[in-house]
Amino acid sequence: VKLQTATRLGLYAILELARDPERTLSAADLAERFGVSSHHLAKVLRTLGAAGLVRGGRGASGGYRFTGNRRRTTLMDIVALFEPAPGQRAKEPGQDTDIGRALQRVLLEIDEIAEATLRSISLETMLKAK
Amino acid sequence: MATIRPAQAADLPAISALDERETGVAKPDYWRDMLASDPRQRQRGIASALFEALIARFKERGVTRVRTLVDRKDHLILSFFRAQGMVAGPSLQLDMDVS
Repeated sequence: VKLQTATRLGLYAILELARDPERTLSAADLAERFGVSSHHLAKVLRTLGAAGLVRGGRGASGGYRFTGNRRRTTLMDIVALFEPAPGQRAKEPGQDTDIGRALQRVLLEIDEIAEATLRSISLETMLKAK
Repeated sequence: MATIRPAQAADLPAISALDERETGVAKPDYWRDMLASDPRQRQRGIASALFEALIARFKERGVTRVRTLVDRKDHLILSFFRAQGMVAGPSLQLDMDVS
């Protein structure tokens, strides 16, 4: 599965923050940890903030902390914030031909299995696994 | 004639012990039903405790691997097994409607 960079950063950031909900980390702290630009990470953190999963972040050095529920939040909840929903993807050329439809069925099967996997793993489960 | 009240989550260990005593076999097919705790009891670790007890008993009998089949749309039960440490196994289930 190929996830967009923003999705992967979203997962890294939320898991890092959820590891210790008392701790605050700035976009710069997280960016350094993952070796990416803090500009990119600030954008990701704003998306997570709008979803109510993190709070904070006033100014460049403002810290973020986790405000979600580790047991209730699944990897799919994070992925869905950054990836387009399967039904909302752009129509592809040839989709309405016999072969196109057959291919769509295969891709849908893969999507369903991926979604079932992502939805079944909570942040809690993820952080417990070593 | 005795009236039997509906089973509650707290009865499950006794029910499964009774079932095993009577039939002499543990029934993996009934796992899911056994583990479907009363919603009011959810998040209190009853299902996890049952799962752990079951695994402990399996290990005593020399079982080295457990496997289960779960509807991929059943996110609640999938999450439960994931939280117990289960991951996707080496086999993919395939099926076909032949009706």
